[in-house]
Amino acid sequence: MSPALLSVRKLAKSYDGVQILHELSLDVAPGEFVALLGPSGCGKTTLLRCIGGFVSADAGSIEVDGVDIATEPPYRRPINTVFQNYALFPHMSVLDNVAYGPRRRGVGAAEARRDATQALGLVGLEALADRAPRQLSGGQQQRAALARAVVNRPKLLLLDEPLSALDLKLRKRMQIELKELQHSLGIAFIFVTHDQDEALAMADRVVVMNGGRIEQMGPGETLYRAPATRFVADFIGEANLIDCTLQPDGSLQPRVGHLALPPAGRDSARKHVAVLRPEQIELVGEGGTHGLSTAVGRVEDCIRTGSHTRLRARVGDDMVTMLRFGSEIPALQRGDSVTLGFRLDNLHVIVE
Amino acid sequence: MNAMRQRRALWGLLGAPVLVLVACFAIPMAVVAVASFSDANGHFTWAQYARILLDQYHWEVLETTFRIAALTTVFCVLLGFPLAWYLVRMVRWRPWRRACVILLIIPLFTSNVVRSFGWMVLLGRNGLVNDGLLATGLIERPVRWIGTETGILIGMVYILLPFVVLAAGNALAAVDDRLEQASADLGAGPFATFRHVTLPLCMPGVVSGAVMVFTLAVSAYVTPALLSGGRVTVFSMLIFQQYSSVFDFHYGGALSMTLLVVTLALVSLAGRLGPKETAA
Repeated sequence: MSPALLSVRKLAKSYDGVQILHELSLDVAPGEFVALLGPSGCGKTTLLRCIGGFVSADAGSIEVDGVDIATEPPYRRPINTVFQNYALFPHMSVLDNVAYGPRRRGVGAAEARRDATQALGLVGLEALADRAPRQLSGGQQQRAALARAVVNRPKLLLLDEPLSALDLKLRKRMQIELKELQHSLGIAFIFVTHDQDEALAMADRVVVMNGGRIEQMGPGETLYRAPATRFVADFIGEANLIDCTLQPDGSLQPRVGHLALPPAGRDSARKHVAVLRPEQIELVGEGGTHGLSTAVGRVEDCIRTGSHTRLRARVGDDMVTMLRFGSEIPALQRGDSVTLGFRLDNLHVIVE
Repeated sequence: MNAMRQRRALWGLLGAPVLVLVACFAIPMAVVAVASFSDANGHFTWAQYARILLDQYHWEVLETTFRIAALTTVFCVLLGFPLAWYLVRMVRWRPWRRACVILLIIPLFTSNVVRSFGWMVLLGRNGLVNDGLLATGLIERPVRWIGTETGILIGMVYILLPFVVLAAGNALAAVDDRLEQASADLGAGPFATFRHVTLPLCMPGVVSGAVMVFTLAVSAYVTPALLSGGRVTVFSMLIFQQYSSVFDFHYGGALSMTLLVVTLALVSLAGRLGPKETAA
């Protein structure tokens, strides 16, 4: 792994006696796209604001290229931010907004204009350079804020839920544009979001935060396939969390399904929870089980959303959700009896 | 049908305020204007205005009036803006801020006359100000404040200061702190952020406070009259004389219209020359 561009060590912050960040550490490599993902109040925005310099941490260090900047004011950090509501200066034209950064860093007026025009070109906004920010649509303001933040060519760009104010279609498009821009500029991005789809779609690495701590970090696919904690399993995608009991012979018996996982030297003092994704479950007909672990349940509801069908069934005390494409599942009524089946090796076991 | 009913409802709602506006502002103004253009027999004449504009004395009084008003405005802004900054940006303890705002507003509930008399006492030959300055040895004998433009200025600034503080304070409080953070993020130090972001954004509030102070200062009567000691004359005193002692409503009306027109011209000129959006 290349040496870290940003290195956060044991960062702690509390407000009014409430601990927001618990000695948190995080490395970001040059050119990497990292998403900070978590529910509101998990500390992701506070972490971002600490890195940007708008919140001073109680303890810990923030190093950029080996230099601790934890006590530097924002204007001395080689970092720029795209603010949640864009924070464009309303009394300046779009061009002047973008030229503001170079101007404050001592670049001459003509050169700053040229840099700004070029940055606006990156986001396809040259034609609107003379407009006032309030004359732009939400998506255009978003682009202007982006141009303003990258014009100084920072090594690291912080983005605080930059897409949350856009409607879904525009949001999807901006996700792609943002990803492409990040790729072509080679700037490392730290992107805060509470939307797991967005995080998974854009980031090289997703950092899942909860209660001021990092629950797990890694590529989105790893988080989905092998969540480390119950929280991550539940937060990334949809999950059936099935409690398991350790048998005297060392095998692990999930509460749903008739087959047990083979012995693997498990710790009997700890709790084991199996994660089963909805799309890994299928309906088993009369034809047999094909080596699947099966369970009989009663349909709770069956919802068709066009591309998918979502079925919820009660198996004993557990509610199991399954998801299939189109109309693979026949139309079922509440109370119908169904047999659910899944492959045992699709179970991911979390040890708590 | 519907549209007509809507229109009627609209007029019903607007009727009362329009009536008040006409009865209390438009009609008296018209009466004054008409009087200024007529002689004792009710015939049209320019004579009142000729009498004012061709007389050097009136120009001098006008100049004094606007000099005092302009200086009052300048000092009110210079003192009021930092005070507003202190109240909005620096005071963290809410009860103290509330106490400061109350202290600022309370004097507005008291009569101008009382407050101006207060300054007469303070600024008098044996007043608190002179005693204090003498005690500290800054001066050797009492300074004459009453009857000077400085004295009037002190009184006017004191009385009109709250208008700037309130207007500028509201404007400052309305500046989105995320804009200042964005400015810092882009490399601007605190002073550059103030100059390029905070100040331009709260300028409209400061200007409206300044215009308010200026117009009130131009038309002020009580404070200049009490603190002038008969030695300084401002325009409103001339008007007051005509209406209260000479009973020449035609001449008085013409004086009023002159003051009004010059004030409006200056205020609109200030608006035109006011701060424009400057390039970054």
